[in-house]
Amino acid sequence: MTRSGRELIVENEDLRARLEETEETLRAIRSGEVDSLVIMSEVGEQIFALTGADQSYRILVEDMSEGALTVNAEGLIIYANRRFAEMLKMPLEKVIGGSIYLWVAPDSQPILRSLLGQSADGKCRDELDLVSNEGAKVPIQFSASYPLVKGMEGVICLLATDLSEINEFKRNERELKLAASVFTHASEGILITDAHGHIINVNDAFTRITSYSRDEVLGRTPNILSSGRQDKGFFAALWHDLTEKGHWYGEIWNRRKNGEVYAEMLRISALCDSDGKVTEYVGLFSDITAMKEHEKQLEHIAHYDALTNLPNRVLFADRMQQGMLQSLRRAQPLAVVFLDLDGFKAVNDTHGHAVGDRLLINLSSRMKAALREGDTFARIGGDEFVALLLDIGSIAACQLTLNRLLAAVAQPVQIDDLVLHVTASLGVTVYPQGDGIEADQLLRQADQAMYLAKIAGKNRFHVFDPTLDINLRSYHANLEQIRRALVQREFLLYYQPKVNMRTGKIVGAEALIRWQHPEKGLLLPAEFLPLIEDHPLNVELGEWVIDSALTQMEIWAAQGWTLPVSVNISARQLKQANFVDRLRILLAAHTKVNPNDLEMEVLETSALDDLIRASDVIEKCRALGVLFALDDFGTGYSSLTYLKRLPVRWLKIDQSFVRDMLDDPDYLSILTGVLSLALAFRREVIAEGVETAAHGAMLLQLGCDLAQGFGIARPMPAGELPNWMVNWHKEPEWNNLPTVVHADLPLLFARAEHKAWVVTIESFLRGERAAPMQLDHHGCRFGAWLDSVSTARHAMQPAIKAIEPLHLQLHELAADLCALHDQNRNEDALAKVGELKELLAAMLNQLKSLDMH
Amino acid sequence: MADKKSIDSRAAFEQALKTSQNQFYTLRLYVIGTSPQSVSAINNIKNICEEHLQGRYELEVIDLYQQPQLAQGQQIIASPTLIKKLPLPLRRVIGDMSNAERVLVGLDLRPRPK
Repeated sequence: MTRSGRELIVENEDLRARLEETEETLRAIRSGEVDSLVIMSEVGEQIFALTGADQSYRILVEDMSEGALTVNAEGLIIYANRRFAEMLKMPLEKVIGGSIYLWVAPDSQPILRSLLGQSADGKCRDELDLVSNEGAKVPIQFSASYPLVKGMEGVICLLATDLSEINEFKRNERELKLAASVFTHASEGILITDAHGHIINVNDAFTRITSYSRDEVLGRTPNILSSGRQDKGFFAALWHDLTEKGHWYGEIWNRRKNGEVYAEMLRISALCDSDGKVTEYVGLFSDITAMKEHEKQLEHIAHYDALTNLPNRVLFADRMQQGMLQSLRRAQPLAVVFLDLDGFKAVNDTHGHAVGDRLLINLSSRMKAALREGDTFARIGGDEFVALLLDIGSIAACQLTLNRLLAAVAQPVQIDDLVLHVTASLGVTVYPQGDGIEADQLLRQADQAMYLAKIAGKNRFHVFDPTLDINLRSYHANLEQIRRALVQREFLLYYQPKVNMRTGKIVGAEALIRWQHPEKGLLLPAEFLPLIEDHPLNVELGEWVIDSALTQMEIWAAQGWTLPVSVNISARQLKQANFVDRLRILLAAHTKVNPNDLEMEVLETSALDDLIRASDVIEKCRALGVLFALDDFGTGYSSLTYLKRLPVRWLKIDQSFVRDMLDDPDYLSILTGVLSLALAFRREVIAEGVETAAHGAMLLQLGCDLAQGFGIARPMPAGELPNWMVNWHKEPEWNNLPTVVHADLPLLFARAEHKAWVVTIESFLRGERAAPMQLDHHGCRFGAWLDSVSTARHAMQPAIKAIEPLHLQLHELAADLCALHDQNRNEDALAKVGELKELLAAMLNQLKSLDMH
Repeated sequence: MADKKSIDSRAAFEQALKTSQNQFYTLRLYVIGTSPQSVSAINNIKNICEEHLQGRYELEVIDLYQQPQLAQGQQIIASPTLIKKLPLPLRRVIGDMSNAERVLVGLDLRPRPK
């Protein structure tokens, strides 16, 4: 078989190409451009390294678990091992020759750029993210080296460590770091000992709490901290728990380096090896001294009143229980005192809570000081206090203490520029009383007794009497009753007429509140008003009174009666900021009533309490047509200046003066004084307490025409008033009684003066007083008057002629009796007292018939 | 007329294909590890490609130590060797590619010297 020419040509070209290739290979080998020759065969390849290639080093690189590559400064991958290609999830041949930047996440590229730009004199390492062919981020650490081998200039060797694989390690490392940081910086003290209790480590907090430095305690045992406060049993129990359960938790007292004892909350845990053998003990503790202190404070708050620092109700109850037990044991009675301040609310309202609080603080310390060392004094409410008096012996013996308490409160308190004055009402009860009485019952009894002390006029104590079933509920229960009574319409108004005794005209009526109590019957205001004096209910009740009076006036008007009505206004109500507005509203609701017919009565004492404000309110009411009367005039201590400035129309003379004026010249003097005052200030006067016609006659002669009292009419239900008005007529005795001129006043005094004088003589003789009132017949006012009138206008009256000798005899007999007494003939003197009285009666009889015109 | 025109177009297209400016190059470089020759060959060929074949070449670099199977079909390979697989005809350039002129001739980017 011969080859064709064409075939030969192709074979020739092939051979030429091979030759060319071989020549080219040889040329490259000769010129050092070739490093190795690879010869392939059926059994595998053989590599002939020509220059520079270190086979054992290569094998190491090829098989290592880190990615390895070499790049030039531009990032061209010159060499990469299989591991690196695996990281990129790429065939190796696609990696070499490409740019490393293709596989680096955009935000990591600057890091790589910086690595590749390093000078060739060192190693550098940094973390960055590769992006695999599948798009996944591969966190790696590149270690770059810059070999100074000849022929490798500009080549950078990179070693890539997959960080995701070392993440686990890193996490552990972080945890260890964290644990170390916690150990160092924990606010709890940490102490680690070996199995034998020798300290092998402590943290900063340990040093802070114990003041021992780390070096001072290493190798020692925790005994250095021992305070000695815990006994052996305590530690035995601790070790028992630690051995049995592996941990112990509790409070322990330890000692700082400076000797100071402190409280710590400690947890000890035993650390064991895999065989269960204890290797270390770890103690974790915090200083709870401050917490203990806080606990103590809390306990104090729970048991003491924050304002006064006195025990509170809780602590008092506790002391009471103890006291009651002790009382039984020692057979010594104890007393429980309930104390409520009188008028404290007014202080609060007028001067504000800050002043009220200071008053409470001041009084608290005073009252406490008034008690004995072993007594307990507690504050249980706003102005309510209780005292527990132990071993009192008897109630009589503890009266001294009670009076001391009252006196402590009643003394004025100076707060800045204010001088405050309050009193206290005390209720007292004694333990034991029969069987089975509880502490809270005792408190209730004392509360009830306090309430009775309030009703009885305040600034006093009242002792609870267990034998009397008074069935009085406590103050608060009573308040509730009053509130309910308002709703249930149990209050009603009685009306007491006011008349002009001279003309016989009915000039008005005073509305007086009554409580138709479902169980106790009709109650007078004194039985319930004191209870609410300091209470807002007072204002509510006051408004009810005005409203009811106005309503009644409308009813009477419809029946054809027009009668001015006066209502009583409490100080508290008068001081309400909106008093005038409220009054205006009430008047507007009763259009049929002429405001001129409504009058207000206000106590002298309360009106003067805050004169300027009261004047302002009274003035505003006057503008509405409503006029004011000053009630109980003469009982207060008003200065004349105040009286002058208070725009009231009437002065109501207190009934006490009227009642006793006939028998007591002092009262009569006050009365005449008041009347001249009223005249001077151009106020009208109404006398209260006219019980007899004689009262009326005297008032008429003194120039006081207006009056009210039982002698004229008792307070009556509204329905009875019209009938009374139709039937009433003035006393005949009052007809034609002139007002005596000032010069003749001694005549009016004669009766009272001589009656009182005779009384003193009799008591002197009975040994009840040291000396009688000194009165000779010319020295007495009446005698002087008789002497002066003997030439004056009354001298010709037959009555005067009759009186003169009677008066003389009276004084002579009195002188005789006193002389007998001086001669130790008292019996004889007393025998003649009857005669003296007869003479007096005869003279007074003649006085009556004296015509004063 | 129509046939003649289409024949003219095809001829023009084929002519255009032949012009080196439009041809895509598939290159394979065989190296062994990181010898200086290999490093230099990779560096050099990359530069040449970027300069003359930008955007129209694919270069595979094969480390015969790690992937000897990729050399199958070749009996003897010197490292480094660059093989031009496409466009045909197959050509090989041996050495560290430091002589750019010779590489360009090998890649048929320069006429062969007579």
